[in-house]
Amino acid sequence: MKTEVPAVEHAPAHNGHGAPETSFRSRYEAALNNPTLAGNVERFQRNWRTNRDRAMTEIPFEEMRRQFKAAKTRVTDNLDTYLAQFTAMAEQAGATVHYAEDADAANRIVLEICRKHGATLIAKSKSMVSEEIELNHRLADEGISVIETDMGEWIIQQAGQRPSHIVGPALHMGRKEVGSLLNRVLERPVSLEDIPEQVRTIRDEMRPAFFNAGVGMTGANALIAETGTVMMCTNEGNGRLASSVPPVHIVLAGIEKLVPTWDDAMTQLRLLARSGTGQRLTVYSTFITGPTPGHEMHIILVDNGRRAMHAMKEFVEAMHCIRCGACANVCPPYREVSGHVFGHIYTGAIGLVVTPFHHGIDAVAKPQSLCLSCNACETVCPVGIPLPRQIIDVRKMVVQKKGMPTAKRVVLDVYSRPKLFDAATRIGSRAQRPLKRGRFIRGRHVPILKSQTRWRSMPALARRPLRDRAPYGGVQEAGPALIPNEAAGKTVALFPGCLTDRLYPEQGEAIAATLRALGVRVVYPPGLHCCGLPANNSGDDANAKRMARHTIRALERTLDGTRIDAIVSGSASCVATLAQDYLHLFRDDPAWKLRAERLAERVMDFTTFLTKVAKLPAGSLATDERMVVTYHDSCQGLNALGLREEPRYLLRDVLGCEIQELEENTLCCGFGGSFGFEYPEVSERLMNRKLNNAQATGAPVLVTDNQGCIMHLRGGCDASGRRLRIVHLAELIAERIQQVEAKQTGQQTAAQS
Amino acid sequence: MTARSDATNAAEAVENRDRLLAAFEERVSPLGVRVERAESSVEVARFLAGLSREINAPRVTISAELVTNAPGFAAALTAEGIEWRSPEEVSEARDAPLGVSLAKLAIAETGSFLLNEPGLLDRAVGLMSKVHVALVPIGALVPSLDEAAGVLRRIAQRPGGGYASLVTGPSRTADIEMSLTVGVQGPEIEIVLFVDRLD
Ligand code: SF4
Ligand code: SF4
Repeated sequence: MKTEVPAVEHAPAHNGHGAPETSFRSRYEAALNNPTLAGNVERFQRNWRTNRDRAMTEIPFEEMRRQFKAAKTRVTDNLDTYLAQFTAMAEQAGATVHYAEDADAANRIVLEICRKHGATLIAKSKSMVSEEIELNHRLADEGISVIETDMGEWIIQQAGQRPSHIVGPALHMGRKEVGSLLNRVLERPVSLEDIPEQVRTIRDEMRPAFFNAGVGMTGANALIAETGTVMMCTNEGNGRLASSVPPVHIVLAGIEKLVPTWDDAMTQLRLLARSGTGQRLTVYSTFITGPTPGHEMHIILVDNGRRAMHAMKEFVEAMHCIRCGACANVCPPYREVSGHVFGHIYTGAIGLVVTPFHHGIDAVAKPQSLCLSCNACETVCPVGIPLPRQIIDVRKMVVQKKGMPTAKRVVLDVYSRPKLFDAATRIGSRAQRPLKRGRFIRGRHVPILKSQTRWRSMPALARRPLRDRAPYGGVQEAGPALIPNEAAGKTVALFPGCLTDRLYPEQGEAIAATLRALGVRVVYPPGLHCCGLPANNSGDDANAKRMARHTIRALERTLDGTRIDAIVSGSASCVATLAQDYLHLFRDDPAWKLRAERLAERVMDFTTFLTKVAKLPAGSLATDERMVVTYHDSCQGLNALGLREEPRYLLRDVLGCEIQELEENTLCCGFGGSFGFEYPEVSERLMNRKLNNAQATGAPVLVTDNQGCIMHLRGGCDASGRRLRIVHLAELIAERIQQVEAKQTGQQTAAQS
Repeated sequence: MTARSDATNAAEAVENRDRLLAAFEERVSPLGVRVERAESSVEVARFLAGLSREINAPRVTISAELVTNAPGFAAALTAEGIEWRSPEEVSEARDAPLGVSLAKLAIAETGSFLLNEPGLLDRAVGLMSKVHVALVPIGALVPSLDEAAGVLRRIAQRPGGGYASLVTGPSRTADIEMSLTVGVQGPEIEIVLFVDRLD
C-alpha cells in the first residue's frame, strides 16, 4: 500500500486531570474487570438501536445518506473553495475567522482571545475538537479555567476522565458512580439513586458559569458555506447559553464540518439526530451567522491532520463524518470495553480511522486491533463511510510501521503458501488424532492451548479435505432438476473456501449436491487455495495480494476453459473478499483491478444463487414436519452482502421452517478470525451472548451461512456442553433434497409395482 | 366563478392547515409539549392568565420584540390584570417563571418552532425561562424543513447575520443511564400557542 504514515508526533494523551493516560493493556483489563461498565454500554447500545431504527422508518435512509454523501463529497472535492466561501461569508456577517494548522495553533488562538478580553473563565458547550486539541489542560497551564456545561462532559471533567463516546461522554457510568462523584466533588450529600436530583444538582452547579464567563465556547455540527453560518445541535440548552450570554463566543470546528448549502444542512439535520440519539431533531438546532450585537464571535477552523486525511484517497471519506456516534453504538467489542479502550480521544470506528491523523499512528496501534471487521458500523453510518475497510488500511499502516507478532507472522506466511499450507494441514490432520474427540480437539488436555480452548473447543481438521473427496479439476454433471427452478442447465464453479475444504468438507458436498439437484453442472476449479481474507484482515498487505492473485489466476483458468455462469461459495466471508475487498486491494494496479472486477461480476454466495438465480419457488422443499430453527446472520452475509430477507425466505418459504428470531440478531457472534486469540475475553462474551440468545429462542437448530461462525459457535457449544445443532444452510437444504428425492423415488416405485 | 373557487381555495387552505396542525401535535405530544389554539390576542392573554395561576407565576416575561409586534397583545395582558415586563437586563430573564416570545415558524415535519431574535434581551426569554410559551401565528405553520431552509437562509443573509434556533421540545438530558430528565439549561415546559390573529 502506498500509504504514508502521517508524521504526527504527539505526546501521550492526558486524562481530564492532565495526567498521562494509562497503557492500553491496563485500560483493557480495567474495563473487563469493571462490574458495571459493559452493562452500562449495553443498555445504551440496545436503547439506541431501538430508538434509531424507529426514527429511521420516517425517512428513506439509504437515499438520504446517498444524497448527503454527495453533498459532503462536493466539499471534499472543492475543499478550498468552500473554506474560502465560508470564511468570506462569516466575516461579512461580522465574525472573525481564524485558521489553525495544528493543535498548538488552535490553543494559542484561544489563549490570545482570552488574554485580549481578560477572560479567565470559559463556559464550554460540547466540542470534540476541544478534546482533540486537549484545550482544557493546555489552558489550565495558562491560568484559564474551562468549565464544561454539557451534563455528560461536566461529569467526566469532574471525574478526571475523557469522554468515552463522541455523543454520550459519560454513558459508561451509572447513577451510583455519578452520585458518589457528586458527593466527593461537592462535599455534600447527593442521592446515589435519584437521577433527576443528580441532574438538578449539576445543572445548578454549572449554571452560574454562563453568567460569569468572559468567553463562551461551542463546537459546530456544520459550517454552512453559503452564508457563513455555524450550525449547532444540542439538547440541554447549554450551547445556546454559551453562544449567547458571554460577551465573546468562540467556535471550534474541524474543517470537515463544511456543507455547501442550507438544503444540505437540512439533510444533515434529518440524519444527524436520528443517527445520534434516535430523536427526530435535537431539542435545539441553532444557526449562528455573525455575533450577537455588541458581542464578538470568533470561529477557529482547525486542520490538525485533516488535510493529510483529505490528501489520501483511502481516507478522504472520513472527512464526511458528522460525529453522530452511530458507528460506536453498533460495535460489538466497543460494548464490552467502552470507548476508553476502543479508540483514543476519538472513539468507536471513526476513532480508529481518524486518530492516526490527529494523534499519530502509535496512539491507535493497539486499539485498532480490537476491530473484528464485522462491518456493522458501515451499515448505520449516515454518510456511508467505508469504516471497516479504512480500519484495515489503518491496520496496514500499523503493521508497516511496527511489524506483526512473530507467531501471527509465521501463521500468515504459511497460510499464504498453498503447497506449504497443504502439507502442514495434512500433517496436522494425522498429528491431531490422539487429541481428537469427535470433531473437536480437546485442548484442555494440552496445557498451552488451555486458555484458548477453555471456552471454545478447537475444530479438528477433516480426515480428508474436500479437495480429496471431490473431483478437483473436473466436473460433476447435473442431475435432473428435482424441483422447478431457473438455474437448471447452468454451470457453476464452486469456490469452497479453506474452512470448508479443511474442516467441513461435508458442507461443500451439500452445496454441490443441492446445485446438482437443481440441474446445475458443478465445476471444481483446480489449484484453489485461501482467498486471502485472513492476511488482509490482519493488515498483511503483501500476503493478501499474493493470495488474491493466486485465487484470481486459478479461477481465470477455469473461466477461460469452460462457460461458467457463476462462481458460487457457501462462505459469505469469501464472497465479500472476492467481490469487494479485491477491488480495493488492487486500487493502484489497473491490470489486476480489471481482472478482479471481471471476477467480481461472477462471484455469488450460495443464498443469493438460490434466491436470485435459481429463484426457488416457495414451498418447493417443504415437508409435513415443521422444523423450528433460528437464523444467525453472519456479519459478512448481513452487513457486507446485505442478505437479510433472502436466507429467511429460503428457510421459511422454501423449506417451510418456523423461524424463531434471535434477540439482537444484527450483533456479531465474536468470531473475527484471529480476534478470539488476541482478545479471548471479549470474543467469549460475544459468543456467549449469541449462544444464550439462540437457546432462548427454544429452537434446537441454528442455521447460518459462514464457516467462521460455525466453527466458533460449535466450539462454544462443545466447551460449555450446550445442546444446539449448528448447521450451514446448505446442509439443511441438502437434507431436504434427499428427503424429497427419496419420496419421489418411493412414489415412482409404488407407481411401478 | 371566481368567488366559488376562492371559497374552495379557502376551504382547502383550512383543511390543509388542520392537517398540518394535527401532524405538528402528533410530533410534539410525545415530547411533552402542550399545543394550544387561540383566535386573538385577547384569547392569548386569557390563556396566559390561567396559566400564571396554574403555575403560580407572579409575573410574565415577554420579549420586547413581541410587545412591539403586537401592541394589542400587551394591552390585552394589562386588561386581564397580568403583571408583565420585558427584560432590560439578561439577569431579569434568568430562570423567569413564565416567559413568552414570538416564534417565526412552526414545522409540522419535526414539531419544531423557530426562534429568531438577534438581540440578547429578546433571546433570553426563550433561553432561560422555566416555562416558555411560543406564540406562533397560524399562517407560519409550514410542512417541512425544506420550507424552513428558505426562511433560515434569508435570516442568515440579513445584514449583520442572525441567530436562529429550531426548538423541538423542552430542554432535556439523557446523559445518565439514558434516563430522560426534562428541564436542564433551557425551559422545563414548552407550550406552543397557535394564534389566528395577533395584533
Ligand atoms: S467493523 Fe465491527 S468491530 Fe470493527 S469498528 Fe466496525 S462495528 Fe466495530
Ligand atoms: S463515521 Fe459515520 S457513524 Fe461514525 S460518527 Fe462519523 S458519521 Fe457517525
